[in-house]
Amino acid sequence: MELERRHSPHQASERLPSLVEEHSDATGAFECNICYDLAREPVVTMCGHLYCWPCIYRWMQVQSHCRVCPLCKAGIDVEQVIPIYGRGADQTDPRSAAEKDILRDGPPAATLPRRPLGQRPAPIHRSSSFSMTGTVQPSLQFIPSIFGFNSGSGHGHAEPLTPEQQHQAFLSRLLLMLGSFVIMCLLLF
Amino acid sequence: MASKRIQKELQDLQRDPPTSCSAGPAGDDLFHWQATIMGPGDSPYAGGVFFVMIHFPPDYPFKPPKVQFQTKVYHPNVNSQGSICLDILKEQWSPALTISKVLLSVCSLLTDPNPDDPLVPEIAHIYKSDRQRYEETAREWTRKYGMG
Repeated sequence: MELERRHSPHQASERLPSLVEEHSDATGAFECNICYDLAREPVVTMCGHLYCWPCIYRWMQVQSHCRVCPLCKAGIDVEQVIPIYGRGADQTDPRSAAEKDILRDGPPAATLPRRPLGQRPAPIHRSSSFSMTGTVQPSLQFIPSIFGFNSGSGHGHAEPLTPEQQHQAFLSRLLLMLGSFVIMCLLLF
Repeated sequence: MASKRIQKELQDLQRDPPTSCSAGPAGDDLFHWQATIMGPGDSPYAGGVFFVMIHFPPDYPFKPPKVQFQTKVYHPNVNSQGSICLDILKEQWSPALTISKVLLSVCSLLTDPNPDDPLVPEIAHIYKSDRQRYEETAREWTRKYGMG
């Protein structure tokens, strides 16, 4: 009885610190490598290091000769950072709130440009799939795609295939045709 | 921003203090710290305790902190004013560095002097030509100034 009573609060207290730790670990992974705070207007460099946009921009201005990542010394540039758009991101203008305290003793507030915009590459469609990419006349599009005719409308943004991929696509189509012939033969004769 | 970042570094130092050195604000001013470095065991500075003054610029961490020995040290890269010739305190500074990492670098500089980029050419010359004499003098200075 005594043991049981003592056991349950102990378990609870054991669970609590681990939760706290997990939480701090989770936020730690999103701390800016310059101000050590949770990254505001986060951007990631091509080498994968996270910073606040005002922090890394200011560091790039400080470095006159060549711009390098503070962590790994990889080359960085204003146009080569990727913005991160999280769920809880504030929608305020980057030139209002963030600058006031971050750039207080740095360059004048008006010199901080907007965070570079994210790029939107076209979606990549898999070539040997049955997915009906076009909404218009899907049944008609389906047939030429089996026989290797690419109508183009549904695959407008597909990346050019390598010779190996083309060969594989051709083989899969050939097998598909053979299979359908066998089924037709079985049905007809 | 600077004070917030310095506070974070202080928290990290208290949570996970590095072996062989310690640091913290010298008074009420958060931008003015004092640190102590224990002489590395595998160097002629072994057994000595060296006081180091750290001064953070207002635009820290974009500019490096000023780090200076307060205890006299006989070293090719430390002059009589206590100034330290260390690349990460000058052109190789990075805002991702911390005071903890800087102190660690100073520690390794004590173990491995860099006589090819000396601040005191005479000591560098002795270090290169007569290692025994360099070690003896360094040990003597450590006894005299670092073991008060």
